[in-house]
Amino acid sequence: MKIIKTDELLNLINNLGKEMDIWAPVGDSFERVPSLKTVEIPQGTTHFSAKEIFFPKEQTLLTYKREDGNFELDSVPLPDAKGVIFGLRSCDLVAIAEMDEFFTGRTYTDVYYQKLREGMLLFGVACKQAAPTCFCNWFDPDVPVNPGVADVYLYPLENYLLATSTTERGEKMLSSFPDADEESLEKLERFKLESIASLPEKQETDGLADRIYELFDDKQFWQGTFDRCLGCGICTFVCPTCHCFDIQEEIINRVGRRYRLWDSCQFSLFTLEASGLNPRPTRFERMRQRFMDKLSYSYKEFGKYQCVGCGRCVVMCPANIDIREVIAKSCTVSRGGG
Amino acid sequence: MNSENPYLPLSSELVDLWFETDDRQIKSFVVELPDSKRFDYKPGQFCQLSLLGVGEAPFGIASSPDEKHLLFTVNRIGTLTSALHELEKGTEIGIRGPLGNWYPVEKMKGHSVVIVGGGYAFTTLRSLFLYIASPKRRGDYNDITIVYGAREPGLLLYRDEFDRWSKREDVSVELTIDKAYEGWTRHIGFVPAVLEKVAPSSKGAYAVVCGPPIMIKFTLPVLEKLGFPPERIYTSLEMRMKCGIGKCGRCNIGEKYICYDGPVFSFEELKGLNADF
Repeated sequence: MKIIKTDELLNLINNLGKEMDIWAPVGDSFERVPSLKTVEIPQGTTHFSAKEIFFPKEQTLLTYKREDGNFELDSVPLPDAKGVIFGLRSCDLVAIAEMDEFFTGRTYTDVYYQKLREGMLLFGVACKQAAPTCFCNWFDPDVPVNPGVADVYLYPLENYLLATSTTERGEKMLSSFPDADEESLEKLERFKLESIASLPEKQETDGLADRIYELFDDKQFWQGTFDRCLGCGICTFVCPTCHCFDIQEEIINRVGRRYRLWDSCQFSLFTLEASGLNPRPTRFERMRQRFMDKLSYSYKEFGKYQCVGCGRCVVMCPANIDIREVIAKSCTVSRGGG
Repeated sequence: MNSENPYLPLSSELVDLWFETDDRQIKSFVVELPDSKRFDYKPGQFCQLSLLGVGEAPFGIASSPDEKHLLFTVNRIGTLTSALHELEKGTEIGIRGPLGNWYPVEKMKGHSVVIVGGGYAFTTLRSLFLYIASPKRRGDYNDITIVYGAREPGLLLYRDEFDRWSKREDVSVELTIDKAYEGWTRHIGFVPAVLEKVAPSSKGAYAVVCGPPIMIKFTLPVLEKLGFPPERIYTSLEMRMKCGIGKCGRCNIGEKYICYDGPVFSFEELKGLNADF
């Protein structure tokens, strides 16, 4: 654990910024900034997560030219970017770890994701005080102060910060700073306790995956949730672990490209087959799919919930659909019953 | 598969194509890859065929790994399949694969295999049949039975081949059409009924069933009656797909991705899944 003063941290990041982009929370989302002016970040999370830095809303997969009706494939333009992302919350770091596993593990490496992800240095910031919609502790009680996959992870104490690293490159950046003394380590313990204490009461998530799985056919359970859903898909766009995409083609002036763009399981076209068959024809099946995936399928398949308790979907849903209510309600119904 | 970038199609040539059915809705495409060594597949796997400027879609591989070229049999139904049907010999097409898992040809060794197909869902079943019934592997398997049907004779796939296979003494080929048709001398009736009549032994046997959902629905009880346990009945599933490599997130049934965990599943595996249909 290292001690780092506010202006030293700003210098460190702004020096990195001479060779790479600096991303920081600005308003609703993470934006590229010319320089970092403050290490203060708003309570809780930004409305949009940082996922679009590695997994852009729209990304070219390949390009080609059209000559005399024939197509010629160009060499593939793999994305290339270097950056430092400042101000990631621990829930987002959990989400990034899940995205890493998903995109770069499981037999096939998504080189587009990998290329952008490798180019980014992650600076996480521990939460001093949870926001009203935070519930990361439901999945792991230590999350709000957990460094996760951050290269550098910061605990903002009164007028300085404590910093730790989980990667080699993070360690290198911190090597010149002094080690934390006993007094600051004591302050750190208090900080951690206060942070965890600011979170809501934990709902029972042991056995959640099985509980939700068994509610699949219980339409009554989902009543009051899906019938409010507008199918707008904002929950999936703001979710830091949602990774679904569509692949499309376009040709402009004889130059064509195949590109991917964010898609959502909340849209009717998502699963519509060429034959006209749609296995998820109504909002009920589509909304159920999302909760199943977040709270059950992901756990059964990867051993991790693809919900990190960031609360973004709770904040952004225009119909006030609340994943916390679904979890809480699943605790009160008997197994398999309504 | 491109080992560095799984989204990058290999360029291949369409060397032959023909109408497979009399209604001219289904065509077969013979695809030649520049270097066949890069393409090692098993019966039941699929590929993403792509046309630059149009798009990509998944198709089961209908050829056997023993054959020199790849075969795909495609129903004209959407944007990409319509564009494929318009192509001429010699056209370049993109291909990604082989993708997904395959029929349990290793587990089936030493056992009988019953192949049940309906309509145009005989593509990967052709691959399976040619693989296990090839002279170099035939000895590895016991009885091989095919029960295959279509609405009318002109809608059966691979008719010339079925004529040849029917003459073989070491396999049983039971073909059927829904209603009597002039000149048709084989079974008449739906696939499940013919399967029940033929009644292949289930003793240590595996069944592989592909066809329209309604056929599968009525075939399963027949297989059960014949004594096939769900862990020895396999099928191949389809869902809308984009990436084919388990990333784009749309082809799941319960926690399984059809493209990544499938497309081949036993009914034992499917039994416990939360299926949307």
